[in-house]
Amino acid sequence: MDIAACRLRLTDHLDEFADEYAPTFQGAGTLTQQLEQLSKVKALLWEHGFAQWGWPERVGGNGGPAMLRAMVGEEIVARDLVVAGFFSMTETLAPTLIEFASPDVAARFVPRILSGSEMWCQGFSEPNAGSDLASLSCRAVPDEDGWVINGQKLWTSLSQFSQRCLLLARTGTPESRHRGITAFFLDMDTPGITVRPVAIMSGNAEFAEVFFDDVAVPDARRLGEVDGGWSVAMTLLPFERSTAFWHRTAFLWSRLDRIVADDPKDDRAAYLIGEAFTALHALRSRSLATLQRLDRGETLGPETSIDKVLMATAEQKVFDVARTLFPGLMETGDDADAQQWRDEFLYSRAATIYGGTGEIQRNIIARRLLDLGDER
Amino acid sequence: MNLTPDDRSTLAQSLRGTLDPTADPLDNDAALVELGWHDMVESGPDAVGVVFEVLGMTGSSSTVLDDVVAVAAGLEPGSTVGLPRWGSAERPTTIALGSARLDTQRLAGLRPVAGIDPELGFVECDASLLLFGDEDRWPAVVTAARAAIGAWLFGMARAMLEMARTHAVDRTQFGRPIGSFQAVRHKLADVHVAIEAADPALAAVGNGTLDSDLARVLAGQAAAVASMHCQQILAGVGFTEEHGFHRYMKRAMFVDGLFGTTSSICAELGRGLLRDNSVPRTVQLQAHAPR
Repeated sequence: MDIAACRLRLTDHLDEFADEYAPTFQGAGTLTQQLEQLSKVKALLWEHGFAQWGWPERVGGNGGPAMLRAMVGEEIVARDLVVAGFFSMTETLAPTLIEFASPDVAARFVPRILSGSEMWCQGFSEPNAGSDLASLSCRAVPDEDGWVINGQKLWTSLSQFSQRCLLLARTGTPESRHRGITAFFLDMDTPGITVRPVAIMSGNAEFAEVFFDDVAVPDARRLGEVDGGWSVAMTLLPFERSTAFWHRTAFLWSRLDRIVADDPKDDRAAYLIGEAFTALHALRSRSLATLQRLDRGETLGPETSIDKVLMATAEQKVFDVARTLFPGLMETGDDADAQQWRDEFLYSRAATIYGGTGEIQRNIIARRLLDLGDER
Repeated sequence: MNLTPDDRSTLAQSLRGTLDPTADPLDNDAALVELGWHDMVESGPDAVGVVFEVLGMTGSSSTVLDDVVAVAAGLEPGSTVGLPRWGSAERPTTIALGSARLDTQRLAGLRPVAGIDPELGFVECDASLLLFGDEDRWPAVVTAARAAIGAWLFGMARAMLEMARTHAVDRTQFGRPIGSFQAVRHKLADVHVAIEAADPALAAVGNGTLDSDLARVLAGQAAAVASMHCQQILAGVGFTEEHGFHRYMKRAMFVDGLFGTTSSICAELGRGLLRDNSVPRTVQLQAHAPR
């Protein structure tokens, strides 16, 4: 399928239905408003047949390359219709389900996330398993009906709004590390699950702690092999760093647009804007090459740590430049515009934390790409 | 002419066998001409990029930037052209930089530029001694020169990383290779990221001024990060004249000022965005790589 032709169909549609897609609020809006807007946009895209592009037919899509999803998200994000990070969660969760769930589970649930009727979350991190994900301790124990889960997750984005959760749990011995983890796809309304929202520093309760007390999960909801959860988690990563990253570059590009449109009167403006532009160009060039490799059927691996570092660098650069060139806006402003810049600036600080910290990425680059051997 | 990855590596291989880091610029020039340089420079930025990358990687001296300028200016390869003064991208009217092609013995009024990198053999002289081509071709000259200089700096950055990486693996302190220390590993990782950031941008040159400028800035940033971090990792050894590192670091400093510096081009890019009040989408989704 020709991407340019598809893009034209989509942009014509978005122009024609601009009023329907538009948010009903100014600026960033509240978290509740953002999520309502997200569901609305996804439902409209589904209704008009665009949310199906690039997804396999067996899960309700209409086929075509993943690059179509990169394009759809790019257009939606560039128009500021949704929060990029929320919109792109589908890009990591749905492919994982398609690859590892039984065909009927995938066919039943994937259309729900594509059409915006459900939110899903990703239960990976724990209080004692952040960067060291393989040390996670939330346990799944087999019983005659399936599995019983006990433990705690943390930093679980949007879990208080989610109907399903993609969970990693310990099924091996505590020392088994990445060899003793199993993945599950469970319903958030299962008895025994308690969610306590946690506000991030912008004030939005965007993620949560999730507690599991004797939560029963049928074996049909296991993803992949018993003790094969690490490869499920590792399959998810390349998707984060391909289509989802492309969406995010569109977000950053739109923010640089805003900085330039403001025509800041500052001697440093040209240099700083040039620097941010260069960082975005590097990110987009790299990200396109990664998408093209995925398109050719290549397996993505440790080299995507470079994409991740470039993304974090570009994101923080754009918002650092905004802060320098809009003096006092983030610190003293109270209108919708200031609120949005402040929230997005604060969120950009997490770019070197989530999805593997900047330090973890550099460890991977040193060991796997530069072949420096083990640490210590 | 677009080169396939195989063409590129074959060309790079033969260039490595041809260029001599200890030779005078004019001797390397002669070897390049023998290899078909005059055809390459007229064939577009692809082959030129490979030549400059290998010049950078091997630390070899040459004056072939003159030919890149000459062709873009509508002159014959082999012409003795003028370059802007260090740090500037303006078409010179009074004092210009000339290459080792100018015979300092024969011509009066030349000041040999020893500076930080005497091996390159530049001279400062009156612009009237040099050729510049049509004035309206000057923007194309700057674009072509910056693409070549970007590849040159990129090659130097790669060579510096390789030296520092080798040192980090071989050098033992506290009973273990220094490359096992995270502080060292992360510096090398940052250099690698900067190099990889410039790579696809350099591969896309040939699509106009903007692509050339962006690639040049990214390559300049890679060379700067490599100079800083690799120097630190090579430490006392890299600080001596006996180790090869200093030649690359000094050359990167010199070359960074040809046709504008990394930071001046960066500001130029920003001024362009502010003037047009728009941020061009330089990279578009497409299924296949441009080359």
